[in-house]
Amino acid sequence: MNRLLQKSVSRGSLAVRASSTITVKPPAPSQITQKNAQFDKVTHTGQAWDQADYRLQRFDISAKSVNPNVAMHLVDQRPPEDCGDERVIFCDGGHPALGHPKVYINLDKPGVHACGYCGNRFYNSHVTKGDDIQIQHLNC
Amino acid sequence: MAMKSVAVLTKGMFGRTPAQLAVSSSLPSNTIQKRSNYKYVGMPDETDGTVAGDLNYGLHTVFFTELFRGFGVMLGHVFMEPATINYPFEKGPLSSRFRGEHALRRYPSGEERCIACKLCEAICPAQAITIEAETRPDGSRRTTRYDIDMTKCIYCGLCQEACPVDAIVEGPNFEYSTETHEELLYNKEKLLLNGDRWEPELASNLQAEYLYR
Repeated sequence: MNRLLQKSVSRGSLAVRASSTITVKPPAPSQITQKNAQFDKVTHTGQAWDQADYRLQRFDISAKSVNPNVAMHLVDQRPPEDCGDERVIFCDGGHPALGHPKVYINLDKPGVHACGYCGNRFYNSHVTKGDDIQIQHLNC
Repeated sequence: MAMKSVAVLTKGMFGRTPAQLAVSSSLPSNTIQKRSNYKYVGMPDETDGTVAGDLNYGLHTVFFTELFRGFGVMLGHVFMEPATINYPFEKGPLSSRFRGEHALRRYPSGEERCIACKLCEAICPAQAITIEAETRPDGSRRTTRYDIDMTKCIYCGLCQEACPVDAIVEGPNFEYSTETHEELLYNKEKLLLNGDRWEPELASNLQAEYLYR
């Protein structure tokens, strides 16, 4: 009798547990097409996973944390600085204590010259005329 | 005269009297140094050995004056500010050199400070830092991966000392306990979020310390 009771109890609890962990099965990767792919949040490297990606299972307990402030887009919004006819300027990140090591940037070539440290852009308006502003240089 | 003889008779009967200094007579008196610059930490003398002193000691004993002086101390402490703080809501002061949770900082323009020079990865004695770098679409060389295993980290602060641009810093946050090990494996997203959250404190700490490093 006891054994019977135990059996029935354990079976009942098992049934309850099984019913509580029923999850929707993710679609197979072969079913994902260009149209029905739903990507999660895009990370700073441009990576995003569709709903069939098996790596999403690691975020079962806690959500995937993605920083919405992508540095590349933020620094792109900062307009380049007109340095007049200065041929050489320096950039120290804007502050001697909180900036970066001071670097000198030669602005002789037409175009916009970005600081390799902080991404701030400078140009010499004496040599940079018209569409030259589209030319991007990176000094580092 | 009579009082003096009584004092001689009753000396030491009612309380502790000063012990006589034992002076060794074998040394000539001019070689004995008198020590006066010291603090006596033993039990203070309760009476000086005179009748008045003995009487005073007896009266203090009879009227429990110690008890009332003790209550006075207690009453004084009722009005004193408590030395304890209500921890989760109040926190003790932290040094600007406190080494807590790591953070990756940004420039005011929003650009990441880290230029993937990998000095922190090289200097880390626990080898807790992993960096991978690649050229970004806009041409700038930045990290694609910046991982810190917070369970390997020994919080020595060498990474923030090695960093030429103050990108990786150990901030003032010390409350980041987690339930799982995986949550303590920080990636770049988490570190940059920490930096965004703590930037005012991090910047003011660096501003306070920059003359000393």
